[in-house]
Amino acid sequence: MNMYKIAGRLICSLFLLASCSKYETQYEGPYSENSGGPEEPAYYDMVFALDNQLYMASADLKKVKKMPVSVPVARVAINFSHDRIAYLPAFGGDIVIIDTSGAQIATVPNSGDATDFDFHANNQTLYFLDDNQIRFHGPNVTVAHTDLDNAQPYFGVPYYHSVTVLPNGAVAFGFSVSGGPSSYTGFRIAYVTQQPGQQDRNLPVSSQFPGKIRTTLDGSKLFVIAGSQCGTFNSQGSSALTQLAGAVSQGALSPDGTQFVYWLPSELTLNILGTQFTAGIGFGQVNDIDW
Amino acid sequence: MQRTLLALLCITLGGIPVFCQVPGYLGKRLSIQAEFHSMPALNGPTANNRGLQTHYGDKGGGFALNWNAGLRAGYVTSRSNQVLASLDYFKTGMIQDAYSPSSSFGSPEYDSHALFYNITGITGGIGTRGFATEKGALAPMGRYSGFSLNATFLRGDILDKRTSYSDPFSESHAPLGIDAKALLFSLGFETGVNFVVKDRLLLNVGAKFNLPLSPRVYRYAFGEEYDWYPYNPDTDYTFAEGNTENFKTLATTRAALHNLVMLYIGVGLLP
Repeated sequence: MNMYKIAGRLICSLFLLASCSKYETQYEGPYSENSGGPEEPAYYDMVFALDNQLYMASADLKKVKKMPVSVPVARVAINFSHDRIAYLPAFGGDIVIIDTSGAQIATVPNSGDATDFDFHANNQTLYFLDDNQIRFHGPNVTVAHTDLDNAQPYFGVPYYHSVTVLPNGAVAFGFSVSGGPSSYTGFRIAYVTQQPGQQDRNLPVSSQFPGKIRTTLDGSKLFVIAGSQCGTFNSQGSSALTQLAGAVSQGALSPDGTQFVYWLPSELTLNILGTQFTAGIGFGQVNDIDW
Repeated sequence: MQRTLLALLCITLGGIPVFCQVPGYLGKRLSIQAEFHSMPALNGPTANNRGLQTHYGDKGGGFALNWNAGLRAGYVTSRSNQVLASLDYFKTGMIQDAYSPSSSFGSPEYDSHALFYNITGITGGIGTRGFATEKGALAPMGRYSGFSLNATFLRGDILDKRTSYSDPFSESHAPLGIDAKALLFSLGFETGVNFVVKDRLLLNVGAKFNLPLSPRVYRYAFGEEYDWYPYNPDTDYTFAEGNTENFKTLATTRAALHNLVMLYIGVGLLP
């Protein structure tokens, strides 16, 4: 009888020791997708083309979604309210305007040769650069010049690379002029009316290719990328470039001008300047980005 | 002669009540039994992350017991047969690698998650036991063997998670979308011995082998169904669907191994 008691106690002790202790949390602990309530909706603020595929990303780069666009994309733009996207197909075709779900809103006629495009501050009008002409799709807007040949004083052969239209109608553009008595490469801003602090003037950079210029929502800053140079100009008064980062290949300023997203091929990431926000893209090629 | 006939009549009539008595334990056909099944957890992990071969993370492992416990309602149908309805409960551990789309869009394009589950199983079954009764015995007692058909409903709760982000600066990930439920059918074969103590108490000891009937278990065991991998070009699964499919495969396999061979003891009453 004693043997049975001893055996019984041994079995009970063994069972308690082996199977009844609780699991000891080692890492993040319990996980349940129902415990945190419904997932917060994602807000996508910027748009970019990676290896000719269209993506949207949140302002902290934590959420990225691929847009259902079936054609390769060369260039992209998003309006200031972040509800309309325009893209230019990589291998021919007119600019297409879609919403953030990817549904097509419009195709912009005769825009297949556009070298640059963006949305106006009214969030609806798309303007694009076609040779020396600024053309529009959407509600009418005031603009200083539609023919950029009239917005610069140089003789010679001009090439217009980039353009942005400010809310007050001023036009800022990147261009190069050669073959005449004088040559110039850089940016220039031209106003609807000449006022103190708002005189037409050059915004010089050292690069040979003033490839990108964008305005902030209020028009106070102009963001530029010119070859190895990247920075901002004040749209009034000063003509000095404030350098943002060196040697970025693609970048964009937030609508309020306080944040800057950029891509350095050597880092294999998208980055928000001055923060730890980053997203790895591997060896992909960022073709264009807008915020 | 009359005395002889009277003696024969007494013997004959006296024997009638004996052979007309219904089979059972002194007329009691119904029995209620509690059984406890256990076996060392060789392949682990158990619910508390022990087990001789497999455990989660850096802590855990070591000797542990798989176990399940349940109730049996038995009904004697003949001198050597009993039918049973059973309800069992067990809890064990399971490890799964799950994946979710990453906020990063380079390579890899997913975050991976090492998960530790507690798997709860509730098993309902019906079966029969056949007893090797001695000649003339009225109750199914002694050595027996039997079989049963069982359905085990499995549910998983994630007790721990370790996420490896594709983007090292990520602080959150997309939902895993795992529907942590699975169903396992099994065929049980058992052998044991049964005693009646003081006409009221039933004791039994035995061993049971549960043959899993779920094809998932065999596909996984024979390497035809691996842990789901996000880039498997042969599937069109979304991340959530892949995670759920993988959970079902791993949970049914873990439950099948957990219940594969058990030794048990039982205590019952004859109400």
